[in-house]
Amino acid sequence: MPHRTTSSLVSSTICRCLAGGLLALLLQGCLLVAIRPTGKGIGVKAKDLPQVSSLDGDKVYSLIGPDRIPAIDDPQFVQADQADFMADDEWVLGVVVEGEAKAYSLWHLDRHEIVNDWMGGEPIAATW
Amino acid sequence: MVGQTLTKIPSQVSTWATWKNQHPNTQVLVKPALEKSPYSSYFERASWVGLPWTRISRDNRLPAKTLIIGIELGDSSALAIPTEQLEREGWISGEVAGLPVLVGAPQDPRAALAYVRRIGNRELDFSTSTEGVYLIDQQTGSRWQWATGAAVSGPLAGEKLMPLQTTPIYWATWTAFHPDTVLW
Repeated sequence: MPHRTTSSLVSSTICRCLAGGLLALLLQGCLLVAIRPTGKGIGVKAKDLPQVSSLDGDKVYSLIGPDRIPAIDDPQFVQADQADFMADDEWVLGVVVEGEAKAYSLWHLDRHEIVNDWMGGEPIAATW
Repeated sequence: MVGQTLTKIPSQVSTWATWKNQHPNTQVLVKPALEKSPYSSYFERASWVGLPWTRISRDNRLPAKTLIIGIELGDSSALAIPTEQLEREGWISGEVAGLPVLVGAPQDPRAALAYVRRIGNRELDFSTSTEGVYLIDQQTGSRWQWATGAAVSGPLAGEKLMPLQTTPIYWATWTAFHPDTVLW
């Protein structure tokens, strides 16, 4: 079995705001969903977009408005043997909390990105 | 809410077939039947990275759109392993920031599993069993289920390796959040 030893580890530097990092990623995700690129190029230029803020020196642009990618706020679930809408090779985000297991299709989360759910009596957000 | 951080819950990315086999009583989110991801064209094209005008990657150790398994190690340390490497080498054992780590992807390189290979103060070295579903530690000969990290036979039966969260992610995105990541 291959074995590796780490090289010297550089001490941590910039600690990014989790929400800001997610926002930047979500904005990228928003564009991919809204434009549905066909491989012929994305017909949007940075100069056409309003800059809303900056994050650690990077510009943050507004691509689409809030909630244009709808979160799932009232998720419904079935047991595995009732899930004829799932394919065996379909990728899922699986979570187990206090013995309770749930799976969220990543193909479906690609369209919604957030599921506001409850597990173990606690509110959770399944995000992708 | 500036300054607040959400608590992360351990999760696993895998195929539906693998997940329901490991968790027969699982529930699954109701949704329409789908044939593929809406981003499948983006995933399939290595030359298409992010948006045209964004600064994509600050770290040239790997091509920006290399798919890696990212592992956060709890003290701001981070580890990245290319999925191609996992697929080629199977289980990989090493040490990162003083933490003994075991990483493998027996079923699919994107559905990697990672554990701290230590029980108490005892560091363990693993090999795979001939059956393929177990790992065997060289120190005691105990057999461990790779899917759960639990020892099922031998002197350490009943013990469980501490799992580490794994994330399949593109290199450019991982290094944006973990600029000091160790790369195996």
